[in-house]
Amino acid sequence: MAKERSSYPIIISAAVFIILEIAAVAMLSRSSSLQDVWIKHSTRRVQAFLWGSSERIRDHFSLQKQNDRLAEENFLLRERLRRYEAAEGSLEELKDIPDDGFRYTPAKVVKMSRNSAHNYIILDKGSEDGISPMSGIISSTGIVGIVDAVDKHFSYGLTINNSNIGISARVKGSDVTGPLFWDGLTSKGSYLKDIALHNDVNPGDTIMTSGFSTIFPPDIPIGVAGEAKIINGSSKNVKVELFQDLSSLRYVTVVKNIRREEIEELEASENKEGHK
Amino acid sequence: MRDSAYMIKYTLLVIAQILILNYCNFSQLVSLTLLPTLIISLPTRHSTLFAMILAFITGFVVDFTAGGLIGLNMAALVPVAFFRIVIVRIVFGEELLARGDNVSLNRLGPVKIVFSNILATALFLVVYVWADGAGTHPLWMDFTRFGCSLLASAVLSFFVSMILDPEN
Repeated sequence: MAKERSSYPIIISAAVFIILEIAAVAMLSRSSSLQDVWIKHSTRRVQAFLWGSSERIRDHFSLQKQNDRLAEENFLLRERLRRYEAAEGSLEELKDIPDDGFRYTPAKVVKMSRNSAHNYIILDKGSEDGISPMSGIISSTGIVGIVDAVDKHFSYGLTINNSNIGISARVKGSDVTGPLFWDGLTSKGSYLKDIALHNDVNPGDTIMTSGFSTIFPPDIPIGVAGEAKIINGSSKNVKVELFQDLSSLRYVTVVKNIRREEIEELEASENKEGHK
Repeated sequence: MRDSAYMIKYTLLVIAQILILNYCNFSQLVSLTLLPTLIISLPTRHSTLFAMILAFITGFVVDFTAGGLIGLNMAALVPVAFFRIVIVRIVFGEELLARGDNVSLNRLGPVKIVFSNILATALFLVVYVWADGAGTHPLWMDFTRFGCSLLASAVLSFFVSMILDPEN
């Protein structure tokens, strides 16, 4: 009983300590943008670690289920391989496919937000798996988002349902390109913006990645075009319904452009020359 | 009476710290601080809760008047107050706490006082240097800053302990 009573001051002190530290860190975060970014990144890392840990525990208890699923997938892949091997010369043709400069890493979704204006995704692969910031996140259906920060074992990305990201997109079968932004209303709604008035984009046209950015390879399907709306009489915005439904997403692929730094260095040196 | 004398000295030393931060910037690698010694020298009869609230207010006043990052001294000083009793117990023993005695340079000797000041200042500087750098400085720079600041602050803290000694 005496022991129980003596532990109260320690608990109260610890609680007050946490409250005062949170208040101090919040003030620090507001007083400088550098500290603000640092604190936010640290918070995200902690979040990613916590969610990753809970995911690992959940995975441990669903190992049997996963084994069954992997066995089934293995069987299907073997079947497909057998069919490829049966087709004469097809494997030789596969070897001749040129390197597109991108590296693909499969990852699992640890956590994803869907109900705010700045939605994010946390993946179970990090810098130790070769993931770096500004890598694309795709799935078998379409574009998912962009990696924003990486920890050793986890990555934090902004999803396509985030008003802060724009993706360079192109209309399939034409040279019409423009930035694609989320409409902020529905999970599958977005706009292809700044399209010149003389360019035709018809409802039903497929929208794909342009390949003009260093994040995504070209020709990854994004969505299907809808109605166009003229803005200020000078350009038009085209409504796009995204292919990717984020609510059912479990596995993704991270796309890393291995030549990105080289391209950016070239851009930087060109800009320098231009200023001279 | 003793408490009011202590609080007057405390206030004057906080003003001294503000002046140091405003006018004595010798190097980017040296941050002179008296604040951890002020907290560790608080009479032991005061609770951890009181020490933490005092540390929070002191940190705020110093941050606000020194024109630096608001929250930096607060975030670094509150842990010193939280671990104050632990440091006192490690350095001076349980007896001092049981008697509710003051931390006195004359009675406890310079070695123990310097050791307790170093522990408190080190704890303060770990948080201070880490948060001030915000992950932008290389590790060697943070270590050098920590070492230089600890050395300079430890020397200064000895004089602070002399001033704060209730037996003076």
